[in-house]
Amino acid sequence: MSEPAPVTRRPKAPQKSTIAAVVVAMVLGVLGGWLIFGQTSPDTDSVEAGFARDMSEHHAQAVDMSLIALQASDERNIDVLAYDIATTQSTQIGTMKGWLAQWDVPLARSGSRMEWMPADDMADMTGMGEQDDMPAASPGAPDYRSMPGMATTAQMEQLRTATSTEAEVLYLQLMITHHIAGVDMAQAAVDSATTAEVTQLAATMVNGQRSEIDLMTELLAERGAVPQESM
Amino acid sequence: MARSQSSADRAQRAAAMQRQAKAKERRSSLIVWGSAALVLLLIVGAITYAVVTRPSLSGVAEYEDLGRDHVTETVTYEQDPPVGGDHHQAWWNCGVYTEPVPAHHAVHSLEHGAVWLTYQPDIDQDSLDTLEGLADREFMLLSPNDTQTSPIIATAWGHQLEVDTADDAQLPLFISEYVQGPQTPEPGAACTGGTTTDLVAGP
Repeated sequence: MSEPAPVTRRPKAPQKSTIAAVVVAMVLGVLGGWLIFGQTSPDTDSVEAGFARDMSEHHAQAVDMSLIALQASDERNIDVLAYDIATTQSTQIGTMKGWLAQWDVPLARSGSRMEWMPADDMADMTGMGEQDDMPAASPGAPDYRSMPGMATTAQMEQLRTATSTEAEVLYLQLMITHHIAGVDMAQAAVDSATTAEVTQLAATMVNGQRSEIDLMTELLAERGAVPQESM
Repeated sequence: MARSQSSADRAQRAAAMQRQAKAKERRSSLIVWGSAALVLLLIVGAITYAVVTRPSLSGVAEYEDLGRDHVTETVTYEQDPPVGGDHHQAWWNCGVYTEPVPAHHAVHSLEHGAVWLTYQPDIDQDSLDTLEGLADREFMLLSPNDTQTSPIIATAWGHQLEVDTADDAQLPLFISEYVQGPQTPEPGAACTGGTTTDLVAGP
């Protein structure tokens, strides 16, 4: 009996296992790449999201105060400062809200203000006393100060009705207080956030607002006034 | 005999088929591996080409620890044109200027993220047209500078590039890299709404 020719399919078998090995290697590679290079964006309770929301609200009042000052004052150096703060901080609000949208987290906070800030940093901040005994559910209350450094509704009203030098002095004083807390908040983000775009922008806020505090202190001195608060 | 002959015949034919199959397999694996190797070579070649021919910003000089205070008088800067330092509270509005612009104002524009192109006044018209084309966008300043030692200089906060001709491939790269780039000390600040007159009453 003649031997049936062994029609060998041998080479096919290693090919199958080779394909399997390649597929497994690719899956592992993608997984590894995702672990190493994959970016997970900050979640809604992160320092980053908390900072973006709170600093946006903080900035919004600075823009508001600056637009009031721009109308009230005819002094070039006040106008330039107010224009600078209004445009810069509006753009930064857009950047920060853009982050929140990109991270797919709500623009509205779910908890309370400043929750993202480490307790140590909070304790160092001035203007927190008003925060403690503020009536939580009365945003229209006269002395409501929603965040450290922010002007109360009464102070905002005072600024709106003031004119010329009185308005300039009030604007500079309120903005210095505002900036001092802004620098503290931004510094807390620099220290605690881990997302590069957040720490980078926060660092520019620390430096930019510090130098503006110096400028505003000089502008106050030219008007025979001093800051209500110092760093 | 006829049986065994035909059986030997079959075996021969089977062997021939085997050989053919093997040859076919060799051919197809040659095609697979050959094309894989070709693709790999093409990729490596393309990357090498891109890396070798990519214009780079290797000529950019960097400066650190620049002052950022606001001053109301003229400032003496170490570089010409200056790359940063103390400056006037009002920034110079971005745009194209045919007269030199005051450095104490322009430095503030750099702080806001502007790129400032300056040229020696004896530049030819073609080059000037090229520079005006490059400056035709937001956050760009273009002005002549009588005192600079290179024909054309591009400046951003803390960064400076000197080139000889307006068509230097590094200029567009410099602009892409530094207009409101990561070096900007005050991101978000405007390059409009400042000043176009010198607010320092000079002698």
